[in-house]
Amino acid sequence: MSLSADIGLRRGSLGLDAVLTAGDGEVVALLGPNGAGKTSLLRAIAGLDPIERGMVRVGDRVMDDPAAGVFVPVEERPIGLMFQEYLLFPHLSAVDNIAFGLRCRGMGRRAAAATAMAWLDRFGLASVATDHPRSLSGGQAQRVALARALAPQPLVLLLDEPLAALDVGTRRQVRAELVAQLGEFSGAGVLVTHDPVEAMALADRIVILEDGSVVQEGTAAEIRRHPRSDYVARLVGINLLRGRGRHLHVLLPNGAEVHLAEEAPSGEVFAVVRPQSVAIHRHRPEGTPRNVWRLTVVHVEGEAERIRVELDGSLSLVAEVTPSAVADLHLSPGSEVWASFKATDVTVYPV
Amino acid sequence: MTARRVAPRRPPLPVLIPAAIGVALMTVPFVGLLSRTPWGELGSLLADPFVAAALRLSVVTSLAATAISLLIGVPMAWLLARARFRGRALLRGIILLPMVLPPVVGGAALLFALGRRGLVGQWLDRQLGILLPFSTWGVIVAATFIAVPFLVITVEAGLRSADLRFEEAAATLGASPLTVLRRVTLPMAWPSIAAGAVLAWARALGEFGATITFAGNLEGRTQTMPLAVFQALESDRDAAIAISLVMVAVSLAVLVALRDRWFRVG
Repeated sequence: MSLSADIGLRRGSLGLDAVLTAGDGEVVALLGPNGAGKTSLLRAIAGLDPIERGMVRVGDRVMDDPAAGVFVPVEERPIGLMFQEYLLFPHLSAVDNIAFGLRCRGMGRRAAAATAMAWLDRFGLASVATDHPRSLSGGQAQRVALARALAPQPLVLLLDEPLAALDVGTRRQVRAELVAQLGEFSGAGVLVTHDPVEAMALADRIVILEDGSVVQEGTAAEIRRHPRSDYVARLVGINLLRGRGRHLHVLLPNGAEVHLAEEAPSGEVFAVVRPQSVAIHRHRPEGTPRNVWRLTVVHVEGEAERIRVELDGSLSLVAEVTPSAVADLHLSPGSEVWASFKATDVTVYPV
Repeated sequence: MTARRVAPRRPPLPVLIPAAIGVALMTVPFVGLLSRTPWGELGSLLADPFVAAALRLSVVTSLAATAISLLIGVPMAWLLARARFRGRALLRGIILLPMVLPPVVGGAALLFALGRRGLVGQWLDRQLGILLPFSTWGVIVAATFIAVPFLVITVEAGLRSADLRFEEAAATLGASPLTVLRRVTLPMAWPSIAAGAVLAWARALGEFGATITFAGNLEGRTQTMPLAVFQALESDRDAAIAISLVMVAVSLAVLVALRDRWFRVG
């Protein structure tokens, strides 16, 4: 493992206690809600904040080990960091921004300028080499920031919300470019994001951080198949109900029962229902569906083909329906409706 | 930086009236000065060697005081803005004291410290043979003492409002603390450093009280323009007006010329 970090520290009300590893050539996405400690973790790895417990290593070099009294200062770590707002030096041109790190690592002025120009060429930015950051577009600034972080050839590259500062139109294109650029990076990459799509598009592996701890990690497919918390389930767009399995039922903490088609494992279980499996009705449906709930519409959102309807009541559910269904059923926040799903549409796995 | 265009509107009266009174207050004295100016004799008055000497001395000492203020003021501002230590508020108070004190008190204090019999002056005289009072260096020391707080307060504000994350970004790129200071902090604080230097220079140019108390009023050695005006007012009023006019012209020219580049307005 090229990067191995076991980090314990306290920042205000947040206690961070997380293990994160990334191999050479691997990109790991650190995914989590705002305030989960993602950026704090990144800062600790970079050395901007010292850790209180644990150890940060790059290869077999120890960067931070409070127990042994070892702390390598930021500027001596082989770690590059791209900040969310890029933080390009406003008083330096694009080429000088990229040359900055090379000069700091002892490269001569001309060699640094030539290397920086090569990076600009590679990223299609040769025409803006002498421009200052304020005259760069969002996408150009993002590429200059990435080139600046990569130019000193770090062994570990940290990216804090690399696309968050871009408008939606630019984001899609820059994301595609970033996939290619990260693909060429031979070191270990760690990417912080709160956007699951970004995580799945850019990373080989996803680590989910909630309240300062890792709640789950794995590939996108693994996480989609077995989300281990409500946050993760909502993130990957499925309903996750936690309760106790008993024969053909899952008993939810509030007393509600979910009917199953197969025997449930006993003990604590997750019941997973895809939003597409949840149907919404004006009147109580007759017939097959075993799971029927009287719920209130909390939120309606979505684009074109698929509308997500958030429901709450004796349990929280997300349903995915067509726009015509929304119109027919007059769905708006506050509407009382019946929601149903078939027992065969419920998947159960142990916690 | 985006400039938002705003449709021109007439300013409201509660703004306009006090502003007009203020403008009048700031303008009338100069109109008075101009009305009393003996325009015909201006050339011969300014040709007087004592005027030329005072002008030269003012330029030299105010620029020297500005240069020394930069050398000692920027590091002091950095300490006040960035270093964490006990007694910082007290230290800031001491550094800024000359802004508030009557300059003549500052001059007297300088005399007690650096005068021939002063605490440090005694030693300077005996060990190094340096006598500051009544010398051109004394003028420079007095002007620096009075002017440097203006630079410190401006640069400290600039450093405090700076976004520290740029310095962090520099560190992640391998910059040592000294490199960060040299290549990021100071260049980014440049507008405040320049503004502070201009304020310090302007204050040094107009310095009177501390100078006359500490360095005296010796023609060609310590008599700067403000001291020359003071002396001429008693003997030759027309000469005093002529010198004052030169000071007004020089100061106004500098303030207007630097307005866009250094004060970032307009």
